[in-house]
Amino acid sequence: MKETQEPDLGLRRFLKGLGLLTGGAALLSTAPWLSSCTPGEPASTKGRKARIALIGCGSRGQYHLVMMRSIAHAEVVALCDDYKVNLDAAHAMVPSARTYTDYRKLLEDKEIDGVIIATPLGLHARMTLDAMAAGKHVFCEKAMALTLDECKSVYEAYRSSDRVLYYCMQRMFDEKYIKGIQMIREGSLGEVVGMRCHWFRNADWRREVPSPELERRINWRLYKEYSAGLMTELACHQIEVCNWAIDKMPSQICGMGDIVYWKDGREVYDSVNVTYRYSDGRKICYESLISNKYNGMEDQILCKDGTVDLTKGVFYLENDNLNSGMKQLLQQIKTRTFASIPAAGPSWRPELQSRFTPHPVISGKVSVNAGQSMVAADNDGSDIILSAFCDACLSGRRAENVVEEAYCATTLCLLGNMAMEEGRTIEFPEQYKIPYMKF
Amino acid sequence: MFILLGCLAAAIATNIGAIIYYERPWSELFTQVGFMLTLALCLYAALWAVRLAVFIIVLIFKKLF
Ligand SMILES: NC(=O)c1ccc[n+]([C@@H]2O[C@H](COP(=O)([O-])OP(=O)(O)OC[C@H]3O[C@@H](n4cnc5c(N)ncnc54)[C@H](O)[C@@H]3O)[C@@H](O)[C@H]2O)c1
Repeated sequence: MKETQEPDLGLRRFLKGLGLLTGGAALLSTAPWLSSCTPGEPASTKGRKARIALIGCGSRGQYHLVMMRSIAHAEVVALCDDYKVNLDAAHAMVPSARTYTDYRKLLEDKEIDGVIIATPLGLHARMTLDAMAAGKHVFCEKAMALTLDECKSVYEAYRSSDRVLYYCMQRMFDEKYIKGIQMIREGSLGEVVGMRCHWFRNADWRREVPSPELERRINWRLYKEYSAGLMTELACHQIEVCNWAIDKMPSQICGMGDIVYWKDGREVYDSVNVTYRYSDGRKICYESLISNKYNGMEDQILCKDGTVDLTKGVFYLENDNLNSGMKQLLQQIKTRTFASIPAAGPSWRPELQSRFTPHPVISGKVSVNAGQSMVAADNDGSDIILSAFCDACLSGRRAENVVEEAYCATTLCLLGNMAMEEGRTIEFPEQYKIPYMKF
Repeated sequence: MFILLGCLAAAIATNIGAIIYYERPWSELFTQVGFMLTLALCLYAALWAVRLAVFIIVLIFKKLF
């Protein structure tokens, strides 16, 4: 590990913003994974740099390389990709890094502390297992794996190892999500009664292919050999947030999936509607469609007294007593006017969506992810989670619950696909339950 | 002029009423000035319309009888 004097400003700023540097202990019960990167503890890491390697130098891998530039306590020392075009592009970004075309050769390199895995989903499990077995700390892109059995193998390998393992579920390190969920967990908006998440885009998910034999390699997202489609690529983040909000796992899953518009030879659905039901009757209503972007992306937690839209970092109150007195008076007059419409008897009035006033969950500028990019959004927590991983490569501290949250979200996404393919309601299978899950 | 002042007084009174009823901070007396002025102008415009209507009706009556 190399010497450096610079502190990690990004991570410190983030922790300070959350109030953790001044003893915001209550936050740790909402986001226990933050405890592994609270300064004070990793005194041993001061003045050192984690040596990081990147496996998979495609679009997300290159995005991580850009993020790594601002992480002072780490440096990229090696790159691996078996597609020359991407390896060369990444090498141009970090000319000092050693290059590999076989990740197993890279794992033999003793001068590497941790690896970032940004390859197609079908390779995540094998690469993660091999990297941990080679003694490396691992930061793997979501989702955890392509199959339920692979998820279980990775989880068990993690439990029996002492290596650090992170999954890039960046919402867990996004300030507006952390504060929003803390607010929900504290009950400020009343009981959570349901969850509604969607991700709409109008794009075919295709990338240009230089020659036809590369189709499946480059457009891996469209084929079941490497990808589980919308559920693992998009829903995974959102399902994790729902479970995190109520600290519970759904026990039943049903849904329907189809290829509605992009009938271009792809094997994965371009339209999914999945319902996850918790044992107490609450549900996640999940929808994703990539041939219309009107509704954008939203993670809504519906509570008895209000709604939090975590994507935008705002909350709305059912009875908005945060509005000025004059505004509330006007709203009341409006509601009364509608309520007095006499059509179809006294119980009927138009249930048009009322206009609610958004209130910010956190003060200051909040960056909102419109969900239209296939690579990343600005300040969505990706830089912070990567920085936390690099910090952990130095301290050796494993982050609490990160792997467990990724396991829960991934298994639920894979079960969502199973429910859609088999056209039946699925009970969460016993053999894939882990002690962390609360049903 | 007196009518306009009366409208303003009514708008301020409404704001005070709303502050008390909805238990809002007294600072809204200042922060909601825009709202109060708009309300005062609306009231004034409404009164003006009523006055115009009365004036026209009276005029018609005078012409007829
Ligand atoms: N967390 C997020 O928000 C987010 C956003 C985008 C992508 N991702 C994830 O990142 C991963 C990569 O996505 P992407 O869009 O960068 O894909 P990509 O196709 O652009 O990049 C994948 C790279 O992996 C390389 N690769 C494939 N097999 C390999 C092997 N055996 N050895 C070495 N390299 C190999 C490919 O050549 C390619 O360069 C996916 O798992 C995706 O789900 C996550």
